Amino acid sequence: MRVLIIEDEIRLARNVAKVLDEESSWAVDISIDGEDGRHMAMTNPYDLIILDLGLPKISGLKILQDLRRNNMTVPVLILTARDAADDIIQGLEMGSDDYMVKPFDIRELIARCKALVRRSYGRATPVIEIGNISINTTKHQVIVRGRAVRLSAMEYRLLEYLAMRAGEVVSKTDIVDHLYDFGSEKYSNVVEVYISSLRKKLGLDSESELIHTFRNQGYVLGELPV
Amino acid sequence: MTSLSLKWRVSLWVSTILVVVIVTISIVAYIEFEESHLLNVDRTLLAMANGIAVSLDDFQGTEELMKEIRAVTGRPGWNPSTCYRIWMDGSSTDLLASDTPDSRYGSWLRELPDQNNPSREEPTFVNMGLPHDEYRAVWIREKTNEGTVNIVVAGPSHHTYHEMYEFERLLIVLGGSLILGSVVAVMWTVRCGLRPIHMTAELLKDITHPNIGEVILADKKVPKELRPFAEALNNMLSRLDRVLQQQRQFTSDAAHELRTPLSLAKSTLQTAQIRQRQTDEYRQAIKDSLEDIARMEHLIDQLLVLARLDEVGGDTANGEVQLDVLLRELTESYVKKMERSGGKVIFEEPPDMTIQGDLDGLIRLFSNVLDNATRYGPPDGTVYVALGYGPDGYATVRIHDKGGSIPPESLPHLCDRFYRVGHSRSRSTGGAGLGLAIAREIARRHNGDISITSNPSSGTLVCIRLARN
Repeated sequence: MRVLIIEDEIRLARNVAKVLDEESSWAVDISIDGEDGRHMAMTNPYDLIILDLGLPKISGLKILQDLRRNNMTVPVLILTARDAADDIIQGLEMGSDDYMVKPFDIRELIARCKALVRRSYGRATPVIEIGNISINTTKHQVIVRGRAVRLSAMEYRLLEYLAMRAGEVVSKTDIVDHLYDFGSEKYSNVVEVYISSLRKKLGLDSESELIHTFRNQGYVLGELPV
Repeated sequence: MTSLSLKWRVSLWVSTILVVVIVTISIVAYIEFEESHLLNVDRTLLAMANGIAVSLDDFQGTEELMKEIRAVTGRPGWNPSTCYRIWMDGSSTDLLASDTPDSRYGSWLRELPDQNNPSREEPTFVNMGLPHDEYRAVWIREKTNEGTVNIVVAGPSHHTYHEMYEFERLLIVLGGSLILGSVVAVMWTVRCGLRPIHMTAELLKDITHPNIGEVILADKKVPKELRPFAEALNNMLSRLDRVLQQQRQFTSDAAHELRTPLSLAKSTLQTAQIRQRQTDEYRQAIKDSLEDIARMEHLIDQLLVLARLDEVGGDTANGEVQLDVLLRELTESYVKKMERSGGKVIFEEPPDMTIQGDLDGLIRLFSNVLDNATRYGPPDGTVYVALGYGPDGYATVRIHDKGGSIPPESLPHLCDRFYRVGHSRSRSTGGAGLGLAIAREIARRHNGDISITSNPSSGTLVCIRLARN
């Protein structure tokens, strides 16, 4: 999962990014002004945008309006010091999905972010079960046939993303876009390396079992699409 | 002593005036009425007396005279109790009399005043009798061959007094009801006139700070005389509403500004707490949080200064301040700061100048402006500080930096509270947008002001004017 934080208080943004990375193992981008933030939000397929309202250059509400006008359905959580009911209502009515007032509890923010992303993939609970694999997205726990499996951060990120989109063909480009933040170097062939290591750790023997490879198209986790 | 209500006071005044007017009119009317009635009686009596006198002139015996007199005095419609007395001058016995001297009317007829010497041309009229049995008498004297004859004819006049008594009663009833009616009318009018005041008072009772802007007092029912009052009240209410709105805005802005460092500190500490960290990370978190707390302290300090400056009549320590010395010392501290980044602060050799003012406030004022000049100007630029006399004799401090220009649309708002140029909420430069607001308030406390001009070629010039005493 990949998140964009548009927040002019750089330290606040870094704190949130750090916790999101540690607790959710998500890729996080930070933008500290409205113009740059809007550009990043428009050009990258984020799974969530955390948006401040009082931003230099372009206000948060304008960014939200532009996103929705371009039919971008990415979940948006507004994080601002404006606590008047009118502000909250206006934010939600303009298309934001959640609203948090500063100062906030960082664990609550993370929980809300996870819920928003989960919902956007049409899932109601944090535990995803596919075949004999159970993924707890809250605890980052993967259980295969009753046995816990330890995965690296990137392996977990990949599995969680494929699990969220279980039954769909997920292209390598999608995987790269959703697993890496703006700063990291993106090599699409690394995806294959992670896939094979995942298969090994999950104890999947053949290529056809649970993680299916479609040459030049991508990967499917779980049941194949009809 | 409790003062009477307006209603009663107006009623009292109106009724007093009415009583005076009605009583005066009644008295005049009464006198006129009495005179005109008595005049009628007098004419009749005089005619009788003259008739008797004429009869005396061609005296043909007492019998004839008696007949004549009866014919003259006993005419129909005239009260039969008309009485008369005829006697010669100097004689104590009557020639003729309707009544004996010891009878009721006879005795009255003998009590005439004797100082007059009436004639036919100049008769004397006399009132006599008792209350409710008043008599009017005419007395004339006629010269005959035998001597001067006195003739007195008297007739009852009590019917006149009766009519006058009726008239008096009429006046009392009419006047009384007029007074009563007027008082009621006045009270009703006053009450109606005062109703808008009561209504206004009712409206004012319900005013609290959330609805103060919604109350409008002047409607069509308010009488013309009260309209200025209602308008003044409305103006006052809208002024208060504006002040309250400003206050609300200020409070919400202040809360907003305090939330930012607070949320920074909280997120920093929670991030550190959420899992086991290295000692360095803890140290950094503590350092960052302390910085946030310092920022909050600074903001609270500024808010308190503004709150004190806002106090009406809040006392300012007043004393002699040597502006040239103060500015030289302040500038020196900025010289060191600017030298570190390769910049300069130049203080042109000033004239000696002393003003009456608040030293702490003035230090704050100049520091805030110098902070801005050294912070927003280029770090290696030069800030010029000059002190002089304005054309109006005011002390004028000019602080000029060759830094970036301020957009013209921002210039009028620079001294507004929480205003930052270009909607920049970025705190990387630190300020909450209160420095210049405080500076302006302090300048105003010194009967002065601050003006700011800015353009890309010459930079930004802040001009502070202060009254010298």
